[in-house]
Amino acid sequence: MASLLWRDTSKNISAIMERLPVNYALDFDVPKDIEDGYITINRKNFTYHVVISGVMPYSPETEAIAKKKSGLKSIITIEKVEKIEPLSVMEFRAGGKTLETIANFEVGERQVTEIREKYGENLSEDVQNVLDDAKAMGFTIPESVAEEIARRRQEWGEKTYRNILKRIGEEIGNELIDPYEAVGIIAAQSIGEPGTQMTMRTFHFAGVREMNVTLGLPRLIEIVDARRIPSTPSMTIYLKPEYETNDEVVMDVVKRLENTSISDVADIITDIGELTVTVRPDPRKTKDRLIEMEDIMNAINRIKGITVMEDSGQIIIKPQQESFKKLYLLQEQIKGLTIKGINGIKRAIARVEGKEHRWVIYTQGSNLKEVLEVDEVDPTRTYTNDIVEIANVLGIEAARNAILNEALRTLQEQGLNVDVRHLMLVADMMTFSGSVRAVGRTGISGRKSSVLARAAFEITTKHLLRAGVMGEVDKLAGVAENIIVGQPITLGTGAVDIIYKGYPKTKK
Amino acid sequence: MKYTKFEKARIIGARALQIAMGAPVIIDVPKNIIDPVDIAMLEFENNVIPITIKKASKILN
Repeated sequence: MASLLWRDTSKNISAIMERLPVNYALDFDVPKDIEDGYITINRKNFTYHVVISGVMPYSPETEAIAKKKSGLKSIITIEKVEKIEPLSVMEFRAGGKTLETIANFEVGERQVTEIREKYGENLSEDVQNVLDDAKAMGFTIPESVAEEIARRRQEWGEKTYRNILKRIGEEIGNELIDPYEAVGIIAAQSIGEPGTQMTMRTFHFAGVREMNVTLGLPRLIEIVDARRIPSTPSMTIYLKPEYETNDEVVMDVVKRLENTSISDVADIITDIGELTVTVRPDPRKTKDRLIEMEDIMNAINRIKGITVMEDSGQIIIKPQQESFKKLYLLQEQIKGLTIKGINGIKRAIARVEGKEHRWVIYTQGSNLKEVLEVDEVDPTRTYTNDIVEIANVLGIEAARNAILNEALRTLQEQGLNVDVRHLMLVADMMTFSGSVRAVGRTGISGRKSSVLARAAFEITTKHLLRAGVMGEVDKLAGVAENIIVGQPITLGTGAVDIIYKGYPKTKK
Repeated sequence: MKYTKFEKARIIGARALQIAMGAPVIIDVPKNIIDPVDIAMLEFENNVIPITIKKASKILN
């Protein structure tokens, strides 16, 4: 259902709202079937929603408020105007592309994202039967497994089916661990021991010198330390299915992603005597990256408070306010100015994968937020290895999965096989509080409630002194503090509470 | 009753300590078994140990 989207002034809007319902004349050919519209004032967010009850061509006799003095083409009858929470323009699509700003008029449709659970309440009957049978035997299985079983139940026959289900139950029982098992230390050992076998090799992207990816032990340390920025941030970008085999579109996207800043293509010379900054483009570099003089001029003109002069291939920039500080700030601003591309993406390379000739784009540098907004990018498959960024853009559960996947991949690439449950424990511990916390003094270990545990970990005197001064109480609930004090720890047998139950009747 | 390995170890251990300190043994044991732990394990297998588990009801804070 398409809506009319347009930019207007608060003056017009107030005039409309005073005389509802009212005819409003616009300088745009409004399609006949439009029933509602959105108005933006700042071109980026819609702040008003209108209900339109009729559209007619413009005629001077009809009584109407005019948006402009001339060029009026149609009249819409507005029944209702309501103020809404700011709605981003980018939620609408027109002509197959996401809208970025509304200059005057657009006819667009609101993008609706449907979120469905993979196995919701619509399980087919045989799958539900398998699940019920499993439950009758005393265990639960995931829906994907039940689906597989239901599919093959006919070919197995009833007896084999029952046997298989029984065996599944037994295997699950074997894999379960007992409550109060010391899983933390077991997970630590299970991940640490293969860690001693890992190498410190970095991986070279065949033929491309710059695209190194950190692998092995250094990468695992980065993940577990929850580093703000990994040492080799990189993204794996998939395009939407309709674009991913189209060579031209792929190359165009690659060019749009790669970031070029002024310092990449030009020399910047600051003249303190004249209080100017001169930008001298290097012809070789500009040709390499397909930058024209006007791209540089456009980028520079975005800076406010300067005067720009072009002189025989050079650009001379002078700050309007004559001070050394302004000159310095200007110089720094120009150095980092993006001419084109997405901030943070240093290099982007497309490769063909698989028999179907599908393109995948690999980048050095990561900016998940802005890459996801590019129209051709498939947001359901695009990936980055910067975990903190994933937490900021997609949320903490996504970050938990990212930690798990990255750690698992790092270990598997080295040929090491660690049970996924140990890594799941690490990922859960790092994220359960709601933000990504490192495993270390600054993260989990430093936030323990027990004084003795923190003191035993690092910086002993600081914690003990502070605790003494503030009168802290240590409840002796954890492992480290009980060992220090000499009591049995609260895990394993120490967690078991026994009582007398009386003599059973014995046969003599 | 299905005990976890920790509960089993605790029960046998507590019973073995009692036997070692002179408590009467409930079942008849062969003359050659003298180790208290072995005697406790035999009692456990025959399900005659008068000790059971109280599930933790207070939450450790």
